[in-house]
Amino acid sequence: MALYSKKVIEHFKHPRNVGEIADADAAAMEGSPACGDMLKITLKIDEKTHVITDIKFESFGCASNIATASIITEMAKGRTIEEAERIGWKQAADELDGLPPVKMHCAVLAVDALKSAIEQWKERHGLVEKEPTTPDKVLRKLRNVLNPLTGVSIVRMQLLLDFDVADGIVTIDLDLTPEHKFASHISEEIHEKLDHLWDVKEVKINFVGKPEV
Amino acid sequence: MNEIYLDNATTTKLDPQVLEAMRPFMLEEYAVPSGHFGYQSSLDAKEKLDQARAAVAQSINAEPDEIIFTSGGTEANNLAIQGLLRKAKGKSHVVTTAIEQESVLNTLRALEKEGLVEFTMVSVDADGFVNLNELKAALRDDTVLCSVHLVNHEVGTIQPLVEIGKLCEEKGIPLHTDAVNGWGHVPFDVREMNVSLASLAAHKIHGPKGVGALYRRKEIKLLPIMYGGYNEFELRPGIENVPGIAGMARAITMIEPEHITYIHNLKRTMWELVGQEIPWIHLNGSADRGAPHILNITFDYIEGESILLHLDMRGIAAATGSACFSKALEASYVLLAMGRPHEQAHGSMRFSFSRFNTTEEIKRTLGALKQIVADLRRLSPLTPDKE
Repeated sequence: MALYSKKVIEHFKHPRNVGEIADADAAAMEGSPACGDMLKITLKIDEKTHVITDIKFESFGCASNIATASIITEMAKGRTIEEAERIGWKQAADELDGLPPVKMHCAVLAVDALKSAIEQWKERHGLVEKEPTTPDKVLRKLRNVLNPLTGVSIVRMQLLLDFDVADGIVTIDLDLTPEHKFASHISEEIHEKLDHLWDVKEVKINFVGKPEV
Repeated sequence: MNEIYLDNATTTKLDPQVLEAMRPFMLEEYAVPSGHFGYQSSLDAKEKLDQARAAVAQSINAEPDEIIFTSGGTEANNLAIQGLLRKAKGKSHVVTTAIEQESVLNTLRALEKEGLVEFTMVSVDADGFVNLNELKAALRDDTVLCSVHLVNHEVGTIQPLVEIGKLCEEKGIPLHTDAVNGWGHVPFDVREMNVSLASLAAHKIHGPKGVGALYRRKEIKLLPIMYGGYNEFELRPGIENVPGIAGMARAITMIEPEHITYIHNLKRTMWELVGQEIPWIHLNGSADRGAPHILNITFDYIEGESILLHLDMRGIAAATGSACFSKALEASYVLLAMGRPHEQAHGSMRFSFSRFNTTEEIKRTLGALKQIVADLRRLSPLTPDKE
């Protein structure tokens, strides 16, 4: 335990803001259990003031994963989303009196999760420039959907067989069976990345993988 | 300091009786052992050294002059593999398994870079047993060595060495076994198993650190890997570690069958209690052919470093196969070779027992573990059916 600062241990032992906000205004999941790091952040955001009124996290991960998530929730709570977006991973690590270098990626993950939840909220509220959902953009989003078994993007894993964007309807064919252990997890992740886009009316996911004999 | 030590597959406590057996060789009988022309003290030391050599030999059904004392298991593995391959000259073929300890695999990797070896790593099944058909097929006419451990250091699987010994005998290939994690815990007979080289270490059986041995059948020719004097059949120079060797002999001879039954019962109790009290778990290793002292369990939906640290804060020492705990951020290669997905390797914990542990300690560990696992699962986004 000598590697960790007192503050890391303190947040690991008593993590702040644990859980999931049931009626969250924004949510993001980053990482994967295959990598040993996974983080889910849910937010309540005041529409008028943009203040983060509540934030909670869940983590599958090591001590520094839990501690960085905990500190990020403390740093973001009560701030506006514009302020929260500017929190850097180094700042988060400093706030914990440092992290061992090999664990720095945990701080990156925590910051990324917060940013993508905020980003999602901004898109939904039309605060970021309304760019139409092109096949290019869909592909970009899908590159951040990971196969939890490997921690590798479903695009790189060639699980994405085909996709199409037409009249606000995104259709995605995956090389997985509906019974696959992670079918529901992956489909949840895809919905999380695409459903909120302003011009997307529906996301249809087809599991067209052949069952193993 | 940890009050409860459940990491006995890493190292063990020195038995006080072993310390007593070592003490005279540090304070009174400290002379260097000498063969024929020495003064009295050195002749006495030689006699004690020979007694220890005989005791270690007897424990594995070997002859005394087949035992070469070393600084431990790592050196014994190096002497066996490097010694044999350097003697053989040119590029040799070796067969081993994917789940050997690092002092076997990394020695082979280093010699591969030197161009001295080409090696085949045989796969293992879901319980960690070597695939015998694959092993048989891997043994070539030009194979000079087959190296398979006795007991796996992480999951405790006992390899079928009798069968492997037969396969090697048919082909006339010497079998080396890293017996460090099985010696003193499971039956090990070098004649019955047709083993030509075997590595042993004292500190896994309540002996001192820094001492081990290589058993070498006489017809096996090795080159030394260090040079100096002519000790240990001209294979291992340097003044013999007499106190350590005396401790090693005492440690192996004092093991009683009841000790093994006792340790096995601790393991069984722990596994039963975990099964009763904690849902979503898997055994890593063999349920019926596992070493009596090693229990490896995966706790689904959570990660091992977190479990380890929480146990540590409660005074309990154990080990994990999680990537987050490894310097290279790599999950246990043993568990991955057994076909476990990464997340199951991350959630793995190894508890290993000794005769100094008590049932009371197991119960206290279980109490702590139950709480820790529940807390971490409450924190995990993967846990199903959260209230």
